[in-house]
Amino acid sequence: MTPYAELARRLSPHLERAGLRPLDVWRDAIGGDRHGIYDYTWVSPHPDGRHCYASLFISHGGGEGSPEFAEVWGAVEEGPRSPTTLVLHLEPMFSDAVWDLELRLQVAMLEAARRAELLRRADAAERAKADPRAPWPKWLGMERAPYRVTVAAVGALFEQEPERIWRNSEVLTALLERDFRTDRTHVNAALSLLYRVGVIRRVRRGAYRGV
Amino acid sequence: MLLARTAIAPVDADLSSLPRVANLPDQLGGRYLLRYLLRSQLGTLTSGTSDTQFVTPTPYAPEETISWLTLPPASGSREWVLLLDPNQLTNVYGPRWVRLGGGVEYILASGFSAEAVVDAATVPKGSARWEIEVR
Repeated sequence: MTPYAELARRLSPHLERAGLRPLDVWRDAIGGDRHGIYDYTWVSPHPDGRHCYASLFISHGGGEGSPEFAEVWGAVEEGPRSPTTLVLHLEPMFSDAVWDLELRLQVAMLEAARRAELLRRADAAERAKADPRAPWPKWLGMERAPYRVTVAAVGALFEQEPERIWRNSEVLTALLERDFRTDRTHVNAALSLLYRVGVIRRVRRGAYRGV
Repeated sequence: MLLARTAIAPVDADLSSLPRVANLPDQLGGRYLLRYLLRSQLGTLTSGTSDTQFVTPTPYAPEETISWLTLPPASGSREWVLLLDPNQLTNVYGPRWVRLGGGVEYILASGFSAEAVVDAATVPKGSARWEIEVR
């Protein structure tokens, strides 16, 4: 089991709610060591073979000349020239408080899944004209995450801090600070949904906490 | 080249759906499996590991490793490799196409033992188990 297998296991339910499944599981541990990098990948399979991926890579670090970093990538399967998009690069990896690191990774992974889906839908000719290194391809024309992904991201916030009382605006701010593209309408709707299904509870009007 | 009639699983096949390889030496036709490393990782695997490992039968130049094995560019090209003896490996699954990259990989679900590391020189068996620089 790799050092971050437990972290990957905690990330998995959030990605599964967004329609992805872990690519490799062995004795309940996700991912493994891919030629010197810990690789935790989730896949959204598509019948046409253009599968979407969200990957968390964590370097071994520690050795001279080996930077310690974590990266989150989205990608869509198209053979050797598959388009990819870097969502998050953290270096050094543990510069933030641990809870914040995990939450940022959760949100980044959901964003990676979303961007992979956008890449999948994008017209091939348009994609060829775009700069593949651009972290946010504006030509895709979408400015916010799909609603179901926003629901998962809001749920992740409450799971990380179940005791905290969150106002709607604080939830929106927390997601935007983590580079998650959403807006007040989607956040409000996500909070209402999570409240109705019992994932969070309402403390007072416009304020929620975990259960 | 893998032996003819060896089916290579699609990229989205997860470990639980891959076949457990029963005849790995035959399937590889006498070749080794390759586990690439960075210089900073030299010596870290010569005693074996229990971590799940992704390995390939295909030799690559260092600059090819990033794209063919789908590695994050920030980690750098792999300039070193461990040769693994298929006769000493257990819990091997695959082969499978490497996602995004186009290479072929096997998955060592429970890692490998020190005995699987091939001697880098023709000396008494087991006394030269170390990595080889890719040139």
